[in-house]
Amino acid sequence: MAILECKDLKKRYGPTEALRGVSFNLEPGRITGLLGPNGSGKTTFIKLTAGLLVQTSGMLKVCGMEPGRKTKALVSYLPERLDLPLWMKVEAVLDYFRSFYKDFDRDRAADMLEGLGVPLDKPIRALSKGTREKVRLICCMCRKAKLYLLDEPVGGVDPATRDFILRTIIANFDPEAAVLISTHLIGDVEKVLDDVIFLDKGLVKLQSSVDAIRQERGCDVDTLFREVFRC
Amino acid sequence: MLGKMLGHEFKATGRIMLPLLLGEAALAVLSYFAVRFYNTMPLLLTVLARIAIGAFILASVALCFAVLILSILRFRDNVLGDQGYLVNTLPVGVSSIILSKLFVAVFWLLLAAATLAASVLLVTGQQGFNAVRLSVEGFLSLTDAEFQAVFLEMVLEGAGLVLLSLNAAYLSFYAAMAMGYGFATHKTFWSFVSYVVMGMILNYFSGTLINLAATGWEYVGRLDLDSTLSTLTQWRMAAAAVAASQLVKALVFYFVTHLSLKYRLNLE
Repeated sequence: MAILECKDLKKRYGPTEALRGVSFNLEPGRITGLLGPNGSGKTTFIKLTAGLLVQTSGMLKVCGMEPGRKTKALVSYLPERLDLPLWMKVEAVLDYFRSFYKDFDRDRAADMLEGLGVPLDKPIRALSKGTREKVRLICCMCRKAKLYLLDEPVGGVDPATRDFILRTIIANFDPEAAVLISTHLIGDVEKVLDDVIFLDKGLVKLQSSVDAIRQERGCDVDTLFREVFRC
Repeated sequence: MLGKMLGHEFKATGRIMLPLLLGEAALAVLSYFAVRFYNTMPLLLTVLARIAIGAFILASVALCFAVLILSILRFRDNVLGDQGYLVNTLPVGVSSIILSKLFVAVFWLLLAAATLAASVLLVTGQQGFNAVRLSVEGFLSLTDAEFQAVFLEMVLEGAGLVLLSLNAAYLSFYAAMAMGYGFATHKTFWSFVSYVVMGMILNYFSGTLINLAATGWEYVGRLDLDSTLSTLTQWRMAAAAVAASQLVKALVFYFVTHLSLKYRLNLE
């Protein structure tokens, strides 16, 4: 069964159509890149799937259920913005995740953070931007979720942190789960992707596996993206 | 899940509220000594005593407002701000999110009011206690025997009414912000507009409700079914009308907040 199914999904903000009929499925064991320029509807799609927005029309299901309280227990979401309270200590953040998510592996998260030299007794406020991103990513990836939604996980961090983020995604990948990564920094994430979906002005412009793009078109995803979205 | 949400909410708000309340209590103790020993103090200490009393008065005036405002800001930041990405994707119902904020906010406001009352009584000493006693006695002298017999019961009913009104007041702010933050821009402006418009509509309807009730009682009186309503009955009728209007307001504000968070959440 597909982890995520959507059909003719539309989302309108007042007069603006952010999604204009998006249809695709995500299968378990695949890492999919949701790629598109700014304003293409990537974040809107992820917010709909995370249960932060409600679609205007169309069908959206996570593990066979409409987004809601039950699917939130199955979805691990990394938002674009830092959502952790700055006053909280890192260990309190881990306790917070453990108390609300049964599938959160606190010990593993603590081990990973200690391995990175992140002080557990420091408040989030005292950490650098990159370290805050690492803490949040580890909290997201140390859940045994069915669907991981990563919204711009490598945006605004240095190359070393980007590598760490991508390594963490791969290292924590569960073959029974699906990962959806939204980004426009394709060159950095391409190496971890199995499939890509190009989103343009609220519509799916291309859906393919990364291998098929390389074999059939003879180029990498980054090159194809630049061709498709040439200004 | 409501229990977990409440636990976390107490922890998150307590780190600000407790120091505020302890600060008020500490200033009250300082002021107590300043008032008691003012006449026997050396000149330099009287200056410090005046500063302590002044700070106590300012803190007392600001305390409940500060607690109210901090609770409202907490809802805004934690549910509608960046932290909303975390809170609104937790596997909990929207009702747990709203109620945990509401109950904890009301708790802190009541504790602030109790701290304030205790602080004022501590500083004013016997005179303060006497003033309270005389006020109660003066009030009771205006009532009849039937009312006096159930005075404590009435105090409890009054406390319940205050509790209901506080919940309605907080929910009115939550509802206005939940609606205002559903807009893409000028969120604070739309929150203010929502607050004013919802307030006007609900005040109109609750005022009408109370007027209708009052008219009904007068009608009953004119028919001589019970033309000599006792103080107690009048008091209870008034309290029931106000309670009903506050309950209606609270429910409307709750559902507006709930629906806005569920269907119109628009985090930046």
